[in-house]
Amino acid sequence: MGEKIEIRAMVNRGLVYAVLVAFLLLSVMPLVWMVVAALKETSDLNQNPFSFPSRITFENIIEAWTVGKMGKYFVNSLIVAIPRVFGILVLASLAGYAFGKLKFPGRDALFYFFLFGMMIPIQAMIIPLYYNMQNMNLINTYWALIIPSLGLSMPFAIFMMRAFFRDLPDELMEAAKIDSCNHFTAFIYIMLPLVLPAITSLLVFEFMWSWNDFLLPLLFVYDDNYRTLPLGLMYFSGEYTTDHSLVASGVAIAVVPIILVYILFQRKFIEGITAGSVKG
Amino acid sequence: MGLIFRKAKQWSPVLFVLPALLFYVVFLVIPILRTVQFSFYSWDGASPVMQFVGLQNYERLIKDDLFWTSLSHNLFWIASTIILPVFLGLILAVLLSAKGIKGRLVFRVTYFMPAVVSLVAVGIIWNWIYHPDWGVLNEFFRAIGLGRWAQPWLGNESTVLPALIVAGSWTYYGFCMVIFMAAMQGIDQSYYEVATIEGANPVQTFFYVTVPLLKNTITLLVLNSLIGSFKVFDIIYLMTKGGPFHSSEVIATYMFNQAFQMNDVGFGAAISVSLALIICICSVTYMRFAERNE
Repeated sequence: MGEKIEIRAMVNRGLVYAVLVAFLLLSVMPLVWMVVAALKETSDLNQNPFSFPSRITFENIIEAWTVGKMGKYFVNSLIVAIPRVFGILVLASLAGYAFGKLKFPGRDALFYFFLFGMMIPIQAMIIPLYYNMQNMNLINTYWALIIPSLGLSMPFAIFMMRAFFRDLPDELMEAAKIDSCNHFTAFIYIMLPLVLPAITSLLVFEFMWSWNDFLLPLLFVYDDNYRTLPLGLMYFSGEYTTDHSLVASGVAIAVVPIILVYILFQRKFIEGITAGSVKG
Repeated sequence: MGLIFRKAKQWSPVLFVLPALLFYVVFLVIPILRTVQFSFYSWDGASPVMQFVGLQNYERLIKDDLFWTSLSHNLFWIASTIILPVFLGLILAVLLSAKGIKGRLVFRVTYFMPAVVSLVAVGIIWNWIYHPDWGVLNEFFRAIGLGRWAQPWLGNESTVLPALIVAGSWTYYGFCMVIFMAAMQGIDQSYYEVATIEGANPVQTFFYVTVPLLKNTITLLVLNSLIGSFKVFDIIYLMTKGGPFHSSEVIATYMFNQAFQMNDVGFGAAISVSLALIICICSVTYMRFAERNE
């Protein structure tokens, strides 16, 4: 009798693992397949699209990087992402500190005013934004991909930052006052260092969004020299449709860095999405 | 003097919010108002004069079959997203939380992986999977003797939308799972102990213990899916541009075409305003509804 139950439990657990592993493969295999295809010789890929490479070659990746300009797009993505993420973090940490730890008239109303932006789809501002960029002569510049996003990302970024600062004990503010800190020095020397670990999770998210951003570059940049990876990849794959190993190399160049960042900071990613949702 | 100083001190925290507020107003709030303004005009995006046409753009929208078709595709997308990735995420979270499961971290990390990848890459990957001649899906059907099922998934008007939804869900179910996992960690284990003592089987435990306790999380994910499905754009634009023959057209791709391809800015703006209104009304209604049921 006891043995029977044990066997059933084992079978059940086996089934659970089977389902879990099936979905693990579903998630990861298409990505692995792309990277493998990038490392294969073109003839090898055309003959056996799903086998492991008979010989590993970096020729496709080098060609995509240089001839296909993926290297340029890669650098452009960094040029856009670094100031953009830094700007968002500076603006949102200042505001989040005020909303989370300071008191001033109209604080909550102002916070809800920011939150309102979370409900509005980007489509509701994109048309005037495009003409704004045109009027400011910013079409085909890096600025067009940086400046508007400083405003567009504020609702989510401030929402997160406020939560981070609110989690710090209020006694810290009292202590800072006694040490004759003003609001700003208390922010720089006491509060900011303490929320840095939490901020990392916002940082990785904003970096990912900037890295993968599609709509702004689609509209604001049509000069090839300023394209970031997603748009570059889109045109690149359109141009070399028939050269599968080259397209796969392009995909690998766009995808592998962000996956590495994700694996390195996976805990921060998970903390970020759960902090943004479960805490509420 | 002292009073002014005190007033200044009381207001000084506003200085911290001011820079963010400036960018927020200039690049988010004012553009929204400008979109509303555009929607009352007829404008080609280039000519120096914008012609005021009142509600004409909206009248045209209401009579426009394509707008309603697009909206129905969004609704289909919403329903499928709630059934497919949200439900799947819940099931996987429950399985992963079962006692004695090893490698939770590895499963969680890989399930979420498709969500961090650029949608351009996702589009290319799924274009390959659905490729009529050598795509994995058709190869698979041919290999198991169901070759007659093989078809151009993205070229068929009847399969294109489900095919896109599967690709979209691939990037979303891991997110749902992560959220459910986090919420389940907060559940008091004694509920499950009681269920076991009462002799509930796993299916009963799932429906009578887990689901009711996760109601808030389910509400949140449904709301998130609702908003996300109304504004879905990237993956459709990248894979089919709304085609063939508008069979995968959604409001966002339709608006993009009208405003930026046909240069019918006023009409595009009217579509945008309608989309924003629909999202706001649905979100608020759903939140009210969810609160009342609590």
